[in-house]
This record gives sequence, structure tokens and C-alpha cells, in this order.
Amino acid sequence: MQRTNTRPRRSRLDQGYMGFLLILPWLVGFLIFKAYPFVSSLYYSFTDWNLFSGGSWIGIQNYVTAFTNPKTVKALRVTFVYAFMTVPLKLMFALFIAYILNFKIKGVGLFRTAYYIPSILGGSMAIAVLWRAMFKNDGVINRILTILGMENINFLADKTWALFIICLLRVWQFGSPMVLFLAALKGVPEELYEAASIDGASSGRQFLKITLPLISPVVFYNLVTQLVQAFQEFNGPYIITQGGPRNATTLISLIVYNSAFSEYNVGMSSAMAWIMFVIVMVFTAISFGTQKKWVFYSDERGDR
Amino acid sequence: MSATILVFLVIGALLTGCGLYGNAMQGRDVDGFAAALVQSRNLYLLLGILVLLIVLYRILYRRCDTRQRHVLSTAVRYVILVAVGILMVYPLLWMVGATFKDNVEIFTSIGFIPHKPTMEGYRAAMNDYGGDINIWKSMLNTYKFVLPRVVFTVVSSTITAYGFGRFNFRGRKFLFAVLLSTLFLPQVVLNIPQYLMYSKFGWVDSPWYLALIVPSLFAQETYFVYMLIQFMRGIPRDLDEAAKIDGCNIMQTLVLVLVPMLWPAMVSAALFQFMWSSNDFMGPLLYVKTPSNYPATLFVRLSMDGDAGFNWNRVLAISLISIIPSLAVFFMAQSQFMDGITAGAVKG
Amino acid sequence: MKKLIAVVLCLALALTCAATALAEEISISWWGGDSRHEATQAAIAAFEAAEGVTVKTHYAAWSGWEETMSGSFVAGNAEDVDMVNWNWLFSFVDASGESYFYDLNQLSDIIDLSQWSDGMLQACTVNGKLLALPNALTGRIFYWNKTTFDQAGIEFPTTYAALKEAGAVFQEKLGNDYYPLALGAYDKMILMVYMLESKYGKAWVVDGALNYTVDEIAEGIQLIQDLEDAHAIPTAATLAGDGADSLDKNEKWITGKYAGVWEWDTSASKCQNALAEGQEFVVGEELTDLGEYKGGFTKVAHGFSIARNSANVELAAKLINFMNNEEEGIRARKSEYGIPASAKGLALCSDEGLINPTVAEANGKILAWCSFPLDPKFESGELKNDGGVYQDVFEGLSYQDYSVQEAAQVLFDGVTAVLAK
Repeated sequence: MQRTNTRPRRSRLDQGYMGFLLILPWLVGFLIFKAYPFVSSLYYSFTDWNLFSGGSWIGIQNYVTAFTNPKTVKALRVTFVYAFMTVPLKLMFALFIAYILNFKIKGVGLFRTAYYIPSILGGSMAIAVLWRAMFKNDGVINRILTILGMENINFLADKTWALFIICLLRVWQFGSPMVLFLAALKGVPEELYEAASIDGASSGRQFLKITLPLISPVVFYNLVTQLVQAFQEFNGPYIITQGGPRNATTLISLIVYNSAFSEYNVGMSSAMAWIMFVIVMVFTAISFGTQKKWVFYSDERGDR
Repeated sequence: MSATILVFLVIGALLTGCGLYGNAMQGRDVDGFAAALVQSRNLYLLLGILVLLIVLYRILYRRCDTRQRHVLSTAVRYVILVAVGILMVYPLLWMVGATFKDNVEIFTSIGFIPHKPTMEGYRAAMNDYGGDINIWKSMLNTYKFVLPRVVFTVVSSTITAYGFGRFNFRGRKFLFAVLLSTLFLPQVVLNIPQYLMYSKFGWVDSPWYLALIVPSLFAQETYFVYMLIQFMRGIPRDLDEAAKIDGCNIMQTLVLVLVPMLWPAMVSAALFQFMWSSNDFMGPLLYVKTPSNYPATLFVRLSMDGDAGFNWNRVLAISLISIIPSLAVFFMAQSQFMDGITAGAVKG
Repeated sequence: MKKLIAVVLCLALALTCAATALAEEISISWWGGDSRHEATQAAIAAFEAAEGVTVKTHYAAWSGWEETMSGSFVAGNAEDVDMVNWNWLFSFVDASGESYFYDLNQLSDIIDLSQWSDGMLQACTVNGKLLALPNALTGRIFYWNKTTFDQAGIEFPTTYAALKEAGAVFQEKLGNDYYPLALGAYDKMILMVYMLESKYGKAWVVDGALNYTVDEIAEGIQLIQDLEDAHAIPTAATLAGDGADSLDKNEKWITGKYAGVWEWDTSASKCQNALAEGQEFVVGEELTDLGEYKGGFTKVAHGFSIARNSANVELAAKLINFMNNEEEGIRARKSEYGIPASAKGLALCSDEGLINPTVAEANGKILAWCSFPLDPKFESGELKNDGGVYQDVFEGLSYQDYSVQEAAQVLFDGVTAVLAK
């Protein structure tokens, strides 16, 4: 992927309308099922709309509140911390495992499947119960810490650690970026490593100078998709900590949900959702804008 | 032996020594530094042994020839892979074990083998709510809307991807940008307006799950459209041209030339949609109201009433039974599945 | 493809039209656990047989239910008869100020309203319209794990002072993990109001305004803080660290380390059922040393309403009357909705022993004691839910983010803001 600048070769002009006909169902569906609800939510975000009793235009009041109310400001900050903690950790872990798997090892398929299981289980009830059992006061992790003679940590109640264990849940579900990395690593020609070995490059240098540049398109793809996911994260904090302790795990998505469904404040909820949408768009735009600097596409270098 | 290795050797030996000393002094009346050693003796021992093992590995590695090195590094890889594998699979095992435990044991033990196995969870999972709904019927209901949704999604997404990937029409760039931006739409913001709209259409509580199926006819799952477009970019355009010369029209080109090439990506889109739709809770919660039409995700929740208290073994047993089809499909089709997601991102 | 879509759309429309055209069919919705589902289904089957009609049912557990029902009412496709939470009666109001529920006073020839006390009917009357008929009244009371108190060698407390002392005894005799009582943030809020009402003898909110000053609230919050300092209740951090989202799922409650809860009589059975074998669960007494008044409130646990756009309100009313006031319906529902609020229901259930004795004992004590009304906004989402004001105040206090005085101010401001809406 990644060649967003790819343009189909100019087909005969009379075929242009065929293409439009082909995407017409999507366009109709988009206008009805996505655009209309989305535009209405944009409208709601400028009103004090209550789910039951409607509301009236209040201008940018909701957005002002979002950036001044300590609770929402904190949620914005927590969301950023969460995203910038989870995405690099998850990608590094996924790349590390993919790197280990990428040798002629028997049972690669078996391991690959096993590593994907957590991603299938997703954010189910069973995971919530298990995760809390791991990290509670006298849970497995603390028992291990005790055996090692270290201080116990109240993970679920500590304002810093709580966010970290939510992040660990998503790092643990590293299946899809790992599979992508693995495929990309398999695409790196063996001869390049052999040549580098003869030149005396250490394996660390080989990784930095050969492997990383060659798989940079996939790093880019993973980065974008994982950022989008991380900024929209909802299930993890919702099922494990309910946003606590002291709002330390209250992400924007939780505010969006709570203001709509427990306070019936559709206006505020829509405004927060739009802020979330804009943040995701900005980061995606930044990633796309900078990709020329660090993402190497084989066809651009002319060796394809 | 290099200096670095020597330094690490000394550190490892020191740590291990501290650990052993701490173990030896355990139970005796000591204070100050020694007391700290006793407290953290196992930590020191563990770290020390770890450092020593790494040193040993480096030394061996240097002494070995290429073939032996290969064996050595493979062994280390296996150790890491198996350790990580256990971390990954354990929760599933725990869940299976927990379906046989009672509430007290689920919350008080982390092992997966039940001490006093009970079948109560499975027995209670078979409740049929006065003939309205039972677990098998609910699973059947799930596939009543999941299967059409999978088929419609794949077909409509392929057609849309074909339009975007192979044709140049006015406004294509703009529409493609619109398509991409819908990737970032948070679903939660659409819920309320969508609900009001669907209920005007009369789709709420439709026995044919219209609210869940109809949007998939219009390629509304952007992720799959995007994936298929990316995949299509990797297919040489010359093939289309050749087909055209052979007299194929546009649809024939799609069906006869592109679909066979796109097949792995279509399969993985189908698998993804299958698993995601089967797990969907919010959609059925809003749009299915008659208990006899409840899919499995809603059936699980039937047993989770806060006021009456949860029987966790039952909740877990129902969840487990209802994810078996997803797991089975995943295991059977996993290689195509992996090829498909990979292809979308890597090719092109 | 497009033809197919058209056909599908037409079929969908035709089907919905057909469904609404059928006469003598009504629908009903409720939430609950398995036993409530069974009891309600039995009552409905009896009603169908008696009236020769069909009743379409919609039921599930509470989790996710409020989202579903709020959507249904706004979209106008709610069932004819709906189980409602009491605070919905005040929040489900449309733009013109009209309630989404039908005025049941207009159906008084079908429903025998005299079976409910005036107080109960008053509690469900908004702007002169009777919007729901209560299933049961409920209130909070202490429940103790007698086994643990026996181990500690003390009686369960009947005064605030004894409760504080019990904290010290537990810590000394049983260990740091043992507490005589465990309270979540919302529990603390209700207990605080109970203690304040006991001392000052005035309701929490009167005529839509908070009836206590910041200093008075600070006194109440101090009482809660003192319990924590006396090791009578665990800190918020300890409770969060237990990794359970409610006390009945908490390992320390299950195994008897937390020996008391302050719970609604209608949902205490979940705490009772959760206990590990060999633990004895008893209903406690009110605390008597808090002041000269009898504090605490009772509230309508839930009730049944009729949607205002129901096509067949008469039949819907018959169904409500059948479940509450007719023998077959009462026998089928037993005490699955709590101790029946309808006089006839209560009489019949008591005569035939259809009531859980623990629930009956607790309910009796609460109704005999609690004397204050509950403000409808007391349970509004902004205050009560996760991330709401109550949680902020009491967790902030326990985490020492707020002093007692600051916590009182935050609570005062938060409640005042919600009341002003």
C-alpha cells in the first residue's frame, strides 16, 4: 500500500462514468448511513441538545467547556498519554516477536496462531475478569513481586499504574501488527544480510540500516492504524477500570459515551466526538505528510 | 574474552552471590544491608542467574562454528516463543477452566484447573426462557444476520474497490478522500442519529435484522473497501487490458480476471467481518427486541442481571460456547486469513 | 442489485405495516434476572389465557437496558407496557414538556388505584399526571456477616460509635484486611444523607433546592472520614485494588473479610448468595446514636408505565392491573419485583408465604424507620454514575485530593448545578 499518490492510468474517457456507476451504491449508502448522521452530530455539537427534550443553538459553548472543564481537559490529556504510550510499546513488541519468528523455525504457523488468540478475544467480559485478577492487590503480579521481595503495587487503584495496565491489555493484543511485520520481514531479501555480514556489520547495525528502512512502509501502515485505534479506545477502560481511579483512565471516548447515555447530553457528547475525530485526522495527516522523509518505497528508488 | 563480557560476568556473579547469601541468612536476626538482601533475595538470585545465562550464551556463541551457532540461536528463540506463547494462550485456558468453577473459586484462584469442578455453569447455560430462546437458537440467530452481512459486504466492497481502483472519473480523488476519512469516524457519535433514522424506516426489531444487514449492501465498512483497493493496486493492469482485448466487458473483467486474483483478500475480509459481526453487541442491543430473535451476544447478557447476582461460570460457559464457531473458523482458515491481511498492507 | 434492494425495502415496510395492523396485541418490556423473567412470563401467559389476546415480550438484563429504552422512547417505538426506573419519570420529557408516559389517572376505571397508598401514587405523579404504578418500595439497611463478627467476638453494631469501635477490634483481632463494613462511593453518599437526616431532621432536597449548608454537609462527610480513619471501612484505593466492580463480586466480601454492606433490600440477596459456604448473613438494625430523628429514605424501586403513543391503552392498563391486583397475576409474580407495593399483592403474598423471609424482614424494618422523601434528581446520571459527582467527592476525599471542607464544597456545587437544570 502507501502509494496514495498512485493514480490509475487514464482509461478511455467513456469508461469514466462506469467507474462512477460502480461506486454509486457506496456513495448513496454513505450519504444516507454516514453523512446524514454525521452532519446531524456536527449540528448537535453546537446545541445543548438533550436526548429527550431537544435543545437550541448555543454556538461554540460545548467546545469552550470541553477545553476548560478540568474533567474533559484531563480526559484529553489522558487520551494522549495513553495513545503515545500504547502505540510505540505495541509496535516494538510486535516487531520484536515478528523478528524472532522470522527465521526458519518449525511451527511458525502454530506460534503465529497462538499469538493471535488474544486479539480474537478482544474486550470480552472474560478478559476483564482475568485482567483484574492478574493486577489486583493480592493478584498474580503482586504475589510474584512479594516472592521477589519487592513492594506490592496497588495497580488498579494507583493513578499512574492504572492507565499502564489498560495499555498492557492492548500491547498484549499485538496480533495484527505482528502478522504484518512478519510478512514484511519475509520480503527482505536474504542476500542483503549476507552481504552486510561479509562487510562485518553487527546484527544490530544490520537491523537499523537494512531491515528498518525496507519495512518502513509497514511500520507506517501500522503506526497509522494503531494511532486511529488508540485514540478511539473505549472497551479497555470501560470494562476494567470504568474510567477510575480518580478519572486516571477516563479517555475521551468514555466521556462521549457517558454524556450521551447517562447524562442524555447529546450536544456535549457530539462535541467531544468531533474533537476526537479532528485529533485522529490531524495525526493521520501528520503521518502522511512526513512519510516522504522516512518511509522508503522500493518503486521510488527505481529498483523495481 | 572481551572486557564487556568480563564486566557482565562479575555483575552476574555478584548478584547471584547476594541472592545466595540472602537465602542463607534467611530466618536469622540480621539488620541493615543484610536485612535488605534477605528481603529481596529471590530478586537478586533471579537477576544474577539471568545475567549469567546471557554471559554463558555469549561465550558459547563466540566459540561455536556457524552450524552450532544456528542451533544455539534457534534454541533461544524457541524459549522466548514458548514463554510468550504461554502468556498469550493462558487466558483462553483459564476461561475454559473457569466455566467449571463456582463464583468463589473464580474470584479467589488464578489457576485454571478447578478444585471442585461443577457443571452448573453449563446446566444453567441451557435455560430456554419459556421456549423463547436458548443458546443454540441464539447462535443460529447470530448467523442469520452474520452470513448475509458477510456476503453482502464482500460483494459490495469488491465492486466499490473496483470502481475506485480501476477507473478515473470526475471527483474520484475527492470521493476517495471522503472514503478514507470515514475510517476515522467514531461509531459512537453515529449511534443516536442512526437509531432515529432506522426506526423511521421501520427497521428496529425487524425479524430480518434489516438494520444490521442493509448497510452492508452499500459497502459501508470502509476498512474492507480500503483493504481491497490496496490489494488491487498490486494486480498488474495489463491483465485487465488483455481481458478487454479478448472482448470482456467491465463486469466480466471483474469476475473473470480480478476476482480470482483478489480472492485471498476477499476471504480475509469475509473472515474479519464474520468475527466482528458475531461479536457485535451494540448493534443487536439497539435493533433486536424480540427475545426469540436474540443473537448470542444478547443471550450472554440475559444471564447478567446486577440485582440477582452473576453466575460467572454460566456467563463464561455461554461466552465460550458462542465463540467456538469464530475460533473454529479462525483455526481452519488462518493461513488464508494471514495472507489476506498481509496482502492489503504490504503489496502495492 | 438495485432491484434487490428495492424489493427488500418494500418487504420491510410491508412487514412493519402488517405488524401494527394486528388488533388485540400488546407488547411489554421489563428487565431483570432469570427468575424474574420466568415469573413475568407466567403472569403474561395467565393474562393471555384470561383475555384471549397476545402479548409480545421484550426483556433482558439491566446492563445496556437504559440505552435501549431511552432510544425506544425517543423514537416512539417503545412497548405498550414498560417497566421503568423511578427517575425516568422525571427525565423522559419531550421538548414541549410532555412526558413520554401515559397519564394513568385516566385509566382509573380499569386499574384499581386504591391498592396503592397515596404516598406511593404521589411519588409517581409528575405535573398532576400519574406516570407509573410502583412494583415495590425499597430502602437501604445494613446487612452483617455474623460469622466474621463471631470470630471478632463482638455483636454487630447498632450505633455509630459501636461501628467505629468494631473497626479497631477487627484490625486488632483479625488483621489489617478485615473491616466491619465496606462502602462504595454511592453507598457513602446515601449513608451520609441518612446520618445528616438523623441529626437535623430535614430532607436532603426541598422544593428543588439543596436543604443543607456546606458546613452541615462537611459534618456528614467528616463522619464518613472518621469511619475510614477508625478502620471501620476500607479506603477507596483498597476497594479499587480488590478488582471487583461491585461488593458481591469482591473476594473479600465472599470470604468474610468485609463483614457488612449497606444495601437496598431488593438487591441484598445477591450479596447473600455470593457468600462462601458457612457464612451467616443477617439483617442489621438502624443506627440509633446519630440524632433524635429517624433518618433515611424509601424510594419506588421501579414500576410499570404505559407509553403515551400506545395504540391500545385499555388493554395495557388491564395487563398492569392483572399483574398487580389480580390473584393469578400476583401468584405468578410472587416477590420477584420486590415486596409487592399493591395492598392486595402484599396481603396475598404474605398469606401464601410467597415472600423471601430475609427480604421481608429488611423491608419491614426500613418501612418502619425511614421517614424522608427522596429527591428525583438524587439518582441522576451526572451525580450517581461512574465519573459523576458522588464518586468524585468520596474518592477525592479518600485519596486525600480533597479536605473534608473541600469535598463538602464540591458536593454542594455539584448537586446545586444538577438541581438547577
